[in-house]
Amino acid sequence: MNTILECSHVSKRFGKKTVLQDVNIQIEPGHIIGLLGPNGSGKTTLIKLSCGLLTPSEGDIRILGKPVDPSGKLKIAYLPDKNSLSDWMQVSQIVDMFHDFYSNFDRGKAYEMLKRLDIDPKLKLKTLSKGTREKVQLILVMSRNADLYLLDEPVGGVDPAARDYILQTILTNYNEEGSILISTHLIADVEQMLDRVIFLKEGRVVLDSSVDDIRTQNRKSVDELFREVFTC
Amino acid sequence: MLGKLLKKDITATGRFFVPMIIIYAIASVLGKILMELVLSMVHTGSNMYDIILLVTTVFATFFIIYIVACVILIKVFIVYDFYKTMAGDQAYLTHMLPVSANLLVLSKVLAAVVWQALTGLVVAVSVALFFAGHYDTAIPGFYEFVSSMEAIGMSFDIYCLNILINLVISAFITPLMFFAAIAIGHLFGKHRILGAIGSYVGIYIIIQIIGIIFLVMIGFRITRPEQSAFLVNSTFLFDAILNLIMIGAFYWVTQYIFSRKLNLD
Repeated sequence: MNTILECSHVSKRFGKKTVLQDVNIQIEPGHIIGLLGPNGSGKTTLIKLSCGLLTPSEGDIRILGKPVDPSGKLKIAYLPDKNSLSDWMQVSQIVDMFHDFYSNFDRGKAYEMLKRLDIDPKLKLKTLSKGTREKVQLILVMSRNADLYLLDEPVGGVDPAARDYILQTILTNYNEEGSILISTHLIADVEQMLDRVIFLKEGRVVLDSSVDDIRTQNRKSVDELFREVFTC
Repeated sequence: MLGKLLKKDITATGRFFVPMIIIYAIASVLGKILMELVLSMVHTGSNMYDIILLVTTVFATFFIIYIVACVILIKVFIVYDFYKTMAGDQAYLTHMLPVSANLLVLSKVLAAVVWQALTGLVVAVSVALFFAGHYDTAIPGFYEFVSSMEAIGMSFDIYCLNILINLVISAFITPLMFFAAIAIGHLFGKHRILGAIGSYVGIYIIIQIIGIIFLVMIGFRITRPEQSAFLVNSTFLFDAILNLIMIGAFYWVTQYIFSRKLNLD
């Protein structure tokens, strides 16, 4: 089975501060993996490194066996933790742009999701609420038939109803032959969809296990184990 | 992919440049109408002459201010778009596109060149518009200029060619110098904007020093007034060669940093 993402001995420093240290991760197709850890544990850094938005200080990152290059970026669908879309553009213009650049982007699927949410494609992004903009961004990401979905805090800072919609959208639209790496600290909301979890603590992987193993060996839910590992 | 990137970049920057160019074109036409009105009333003794002259003078003042503002705004818009999309919030989207940093930078440069060329074209048309109908008064001055150049041994055709070559080169070097400074600033961790400004100033000082060294060196070789043409042509040639080297260097530095040293934190 082809490894989609492989991080070998990856470290990242910002100045003198070490944010990630000697991280080793392999992700195979067909998994939904939770990248869990408290704020500042290095989740966002690891995701950005995986999609080439950060350069590792040490170590090697490969997507389908190759360093992250333009062709690798076609295989990754990344949802950042902030708005990266141009506010002055209409939703339809952004959809067209994704269709132009990503051969695996399904425009019909995107419009279908927009219609379901009653978002007018003719509206400019700056006229939409923050929550709606986040949903547009999620729709764009999930309309791609990618090998790896890197979702950075998709349910952070949204109300419970929106959380349900977001998780449902992820589950019903991702390419099942690919994998999802979802970072969050809101474990209870995502636990049911995960089949593997990676705990990050102070830049180090402290646990990499299947959810089934946690439940059978530790006799705990992921949320309970998380609270135990990250107790203050 | 370059075509798609260009479409994206020209659309994004067009929202600044299109209104700017349209306003310039409208102002040029209005200016021409006012100028013709003033000229037609000079010897008529009309009571309205003073008012029209005052309106034209005020209009001309604002028009000149607008031209100066445009020259500055062109650079501001180019820098703003580049920073926002290559190193700011929108860089997350830009650098996730399945294209190389090489193409990203090339597209930004070409979009900047397209807008500078269009603006230059509109300015040229507006100058021609102002002279329209008055070539009889303008042409003698033009011939005077040409003959004064020939008197010092300079060919007008070569002079024009030099100007054209340097204009084309400067359309590339102006954005690239900013882009390289922003890219170098990207290496300065949390002080990226400060780093970019410092880099720009540093590059500018180095270029000035090289220019001064050249002028001093060539200046010693000029001993007779007839050699002025040699000085002018050498300066043009030196500028062109130096600028071409800098275009290559700035382009390489920019794409290298954004492909190998990218850190969007």
